[in-house]
Amino acid sequence: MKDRINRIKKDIVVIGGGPAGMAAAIRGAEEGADVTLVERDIELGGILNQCIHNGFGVEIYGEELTGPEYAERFTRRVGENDVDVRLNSFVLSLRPDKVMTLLTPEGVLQVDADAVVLATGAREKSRGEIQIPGDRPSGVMPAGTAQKFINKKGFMPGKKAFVLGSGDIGLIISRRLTWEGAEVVGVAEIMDYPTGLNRNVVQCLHDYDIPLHLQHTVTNIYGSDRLEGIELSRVDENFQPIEGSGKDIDIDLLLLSVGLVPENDFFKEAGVTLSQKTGGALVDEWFQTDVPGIFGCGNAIHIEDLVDWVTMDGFRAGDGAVAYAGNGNLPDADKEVLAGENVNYVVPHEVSGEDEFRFALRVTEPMENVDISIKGTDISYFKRIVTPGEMEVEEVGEEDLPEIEGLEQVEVEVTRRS
Amino acid sequence: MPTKEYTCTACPKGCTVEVEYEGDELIDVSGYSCIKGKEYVESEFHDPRRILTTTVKIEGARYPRIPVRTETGVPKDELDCCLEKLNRVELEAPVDVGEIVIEDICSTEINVVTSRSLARVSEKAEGEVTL
Repeated sequence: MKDRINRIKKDIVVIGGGPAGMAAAIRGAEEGADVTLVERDIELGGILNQCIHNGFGVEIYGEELTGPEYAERFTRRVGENDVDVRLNSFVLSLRPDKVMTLLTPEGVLQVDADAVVLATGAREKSRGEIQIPGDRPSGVMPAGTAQKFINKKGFMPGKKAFVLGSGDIGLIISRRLTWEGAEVVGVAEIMDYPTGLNRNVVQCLHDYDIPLHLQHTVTNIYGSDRLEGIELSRVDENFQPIEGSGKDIDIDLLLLSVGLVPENDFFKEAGVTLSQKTGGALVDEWFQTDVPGIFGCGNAIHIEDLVDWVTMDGFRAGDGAVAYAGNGNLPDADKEVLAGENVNYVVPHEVSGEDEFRFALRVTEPMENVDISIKGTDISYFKRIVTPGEMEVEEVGEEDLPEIEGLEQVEVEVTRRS
Repeated sequence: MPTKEYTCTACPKGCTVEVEYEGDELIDVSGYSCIKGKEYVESEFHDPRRILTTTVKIEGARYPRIPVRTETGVPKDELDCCLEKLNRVELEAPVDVGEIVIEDICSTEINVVTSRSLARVSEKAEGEVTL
């Protein structure tokens, strides 16, 4: 029985064929590595294929492409390069020594890789994770699930909807439902500001007079078989529902747009240390984890808001994987990157200081006229406005490296100008 | 004089910009904090446009729908007309990305094109699973 399992040896195996994985695979193949790209779906592109709205590719192409257009451009680039693409294939196990077992249409395959890139994306938080009390009828689902039903299957999951959470997915699905003839009676946000992009608040809610209830949440769900309604309540400054503020709303569809969590199962299995903050793996400037030769990029590391950044991170992880597969090592990333004042988190978590790098951060609250700076250096970037909903991405170039070199740790902070 | 409020989308700040107008004429714009805000509201007042992204039916492909888009923004008031027209379209696979679905939709001089390619089901790669 054992002999019937096919074994292959690869320089790099990339797990996940969305934008992060495609970029890593393209870069690996461009640099001459022998690359396998594993995707469980029937085609490459990942979540982009259901994100039919425009706004993708502004940083990379200077165009506002739709998700499928962006996916197709990269799918073609994968095809133009010599990548061994395995569709309909699933990773059954991944060991820290980078030996993995795949279930493919051709059978079980054991792959021994020099480097592995985990580009497994993220999952939507579900009702269970935010613990909404009440009945358990059908008609309550994550917004992205509804997006898949509507955009890929041509199936409307309801006629009268309410959306919990004002992240971009929640806003965009509100417009989508409206265009498809459903009524969206409102969107609730527990914070006192919308968490999605301002442009989406205007173009998805204001355009269709959909009310946004700030500092509100859903406190009850009614319905025995099919969803019949919800209770919407105001929350106090500690996000606790205010007694007596609840009002009932009749709907047949409740969509949850309450955040994404990195898909980190394979990191755990391989013994990678995860970030308490993001739920993704801790990585260095090459997106290498603390298990040598295992890399991660895209939403599997932290939830990004532009696919362009995901692609760029994928290229960088591909570069790292090529260097690791070739030499067996990368510069030692021994300088810890810390989230300082007003910074919720920053990625990467470690840098070597020997090579230029890009860092991404999210602030803790909306602020105006701030400097994003690295403590103890002159490296600083002025921003007129920052909000937790918009990731800030900055580059530390070749010319900045002498300043980084002298630091023991790299503390990124955001300070207001007086 | 009638007034109207806009939320500027030029940056995350989202200034509330107030306009005073008479008929089609903009009399006064206030509340913006940079020139982009003024320009945004002027174009929103005179000619608000939106890119429409939706799906149409397709026969013979692995999915029952194919995503489509307007090539550029169509006047906001024409969105309903566009959706109505697209609701009656049915394509047949194979279809390439960027193929024209409806030319000059609702007399906007703007074309609706496909956002992806879809092969015929019979042309599926070996080993592919049908959903």
